[in-house]
Amino acid sequence: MKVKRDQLTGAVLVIAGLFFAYLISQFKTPFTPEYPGPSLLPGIGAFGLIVCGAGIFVQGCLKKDEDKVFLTKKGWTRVLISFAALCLYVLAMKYLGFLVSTPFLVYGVTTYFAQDSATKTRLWVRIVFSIIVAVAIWAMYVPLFGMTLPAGLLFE
Amino acid sequence: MFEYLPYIFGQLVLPGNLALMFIGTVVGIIFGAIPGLSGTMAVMLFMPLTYTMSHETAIIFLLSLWIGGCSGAFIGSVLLGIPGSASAVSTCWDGNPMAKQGKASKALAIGMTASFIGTFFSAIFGALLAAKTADIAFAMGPWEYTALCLVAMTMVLAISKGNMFKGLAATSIGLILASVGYSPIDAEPRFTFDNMYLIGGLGMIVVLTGIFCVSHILVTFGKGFVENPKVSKEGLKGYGLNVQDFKNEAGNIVRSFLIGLGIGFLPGMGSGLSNLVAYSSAKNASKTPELFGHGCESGVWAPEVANNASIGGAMIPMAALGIPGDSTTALLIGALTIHGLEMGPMVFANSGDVVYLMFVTVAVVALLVFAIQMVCKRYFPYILRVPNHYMYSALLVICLASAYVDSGNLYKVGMMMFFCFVGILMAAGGLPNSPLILAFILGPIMEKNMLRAFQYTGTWTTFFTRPVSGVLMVVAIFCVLSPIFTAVIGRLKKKKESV
Repeated sequence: MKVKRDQLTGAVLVIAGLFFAYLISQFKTPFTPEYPGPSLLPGIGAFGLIVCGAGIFVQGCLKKDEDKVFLTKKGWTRVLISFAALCLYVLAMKYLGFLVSTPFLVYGVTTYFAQDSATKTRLWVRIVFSIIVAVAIWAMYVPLFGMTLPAGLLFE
Repeated sequence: MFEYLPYIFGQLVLPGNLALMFIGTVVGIIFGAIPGLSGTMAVMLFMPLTYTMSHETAIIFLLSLWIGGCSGAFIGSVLLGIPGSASAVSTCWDGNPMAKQGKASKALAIGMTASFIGTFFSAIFGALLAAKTADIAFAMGPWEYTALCLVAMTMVLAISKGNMFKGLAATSIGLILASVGYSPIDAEPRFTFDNMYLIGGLGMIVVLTGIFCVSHILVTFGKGFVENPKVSKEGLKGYGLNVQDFKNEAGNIVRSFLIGLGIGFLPGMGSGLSNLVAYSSAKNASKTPELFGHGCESGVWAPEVANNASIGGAMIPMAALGIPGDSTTALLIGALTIHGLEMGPMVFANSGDVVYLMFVTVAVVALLVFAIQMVCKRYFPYILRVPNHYMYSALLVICLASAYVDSGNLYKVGMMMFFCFVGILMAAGGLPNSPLILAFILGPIMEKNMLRAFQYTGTWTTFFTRPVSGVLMVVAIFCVLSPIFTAVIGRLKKKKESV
């Protein structure tokens, strides 16, 4: 039997709700009807997750229509590769700083994102664009608004 | 109110503020016009830039982004048939057919003018009504505030119809995320896992940018970027409207304005709903409803006046009660809190000058938007030609830089990536965004008031026995149960028909 997306979503929400309910039960301040304390807000959230998760799961079981495809296998690969690139970028910023790592990310992402584009982009345009974006964003945050961006452990 | 005018004027003519108002408005219009982006996203992305600004400058910049975004949304609707944001969904239905009939210039002129009328006059009404609303709010206790927060969260759910469980699940996620860190009153650490970065709670930018912006860009790419069709700029010269057009639509404009103002005022509602209600009202009131959907001018006037009138409407509960009228005002409340301004009835006594600065800024930005759109009307098609791969790659960097600037450490940028992952899962599961934003921002306000209420009376029954709080609680419960009622009534009707 093929698992429907709503069934999966519902199950994940119920598990998340139970997990948070367990964490809430560990709070030191007790829950009483006179004063619910710090358990109140997350308690409502956890209860909501369990009930809604169950509801979505049941809806998924009752639904007769086929699920619309959210992302194809190719789509998921794209999302995961982009996600991994961004995680790598966060790591690169730590060591190389914003100004050095950003042009590489922008170049890589622009090239990767351009794969479907009808308009062909030239290599030098992408390189210049990457450098301009990095410098412009750095200039906007650092000299213009007096904020800091990662300088990089290797350059500090 | 008038005693603040010299201060307000002094702020608005400062060169730095004027420059940021202009930049914010242009950026807002671009974000509003491009399908997939929105004024809300612009406010979210550029909010950290305001941290080093004075609160007046921050207000002017953020409001310019918001108004620009809301007023630019019709451009995509008219020229492409794809709404720039949820506030311009119904503008597509007649705006795009008008463009296809060679009346793009007139449709754009209606959009520009209607946006101006809606925003400008709603700001005036907002300024007049906000102080009166604040006077009423002084009589409200923690019970009423709790109930109002609940109404704001549940009203969003009521319009999500068939997705009630999903809407509530998104609200629940928002409440859990809002709970992270030390609890109010009892100072109990919640979900901190002994991590010092979690003790102060999750930052608004980290959570919301991760869930809505970064994940949105990745999912959009995963689905494959859709290139916008090329639109010619031919025939987009001139204003395109005359006095007779205004005379013909006067009733429609007034009705749509009142709908927008009213819906904007309701906590949790906003331009996403008002444009739809105004459109159907215009259609129902029209002598020629059959023309709607085929390039009817009234079908462009109504949603555009209403969605912009919601701006002033939404600012009333934001300023007077500290309760957001929609997701953007929720973000603004968060931003103003960072600048040390807590919205609510006391704000008129403590910072009345700032409140009226907000309303006047909205009115001035409405004028600026209109002027910019008049001058740049023939260049609108160029905004829609920005290649996705350039635009989204630059936006990704701004998202990550915002998270760093917001927190000052890369740990939170990593955390934002975690929330991006959560956002992708939410999108896969079909969970909506707005309920999460509202719950995340309203959660702490609701909790503080709810706990105070329990401290005063020690029982939950007071929420139902106090008249205003009781009515609001009933409204909230009705909103949650409304899809069930609708389904039951629908089945009963079907049964009757079959008998």
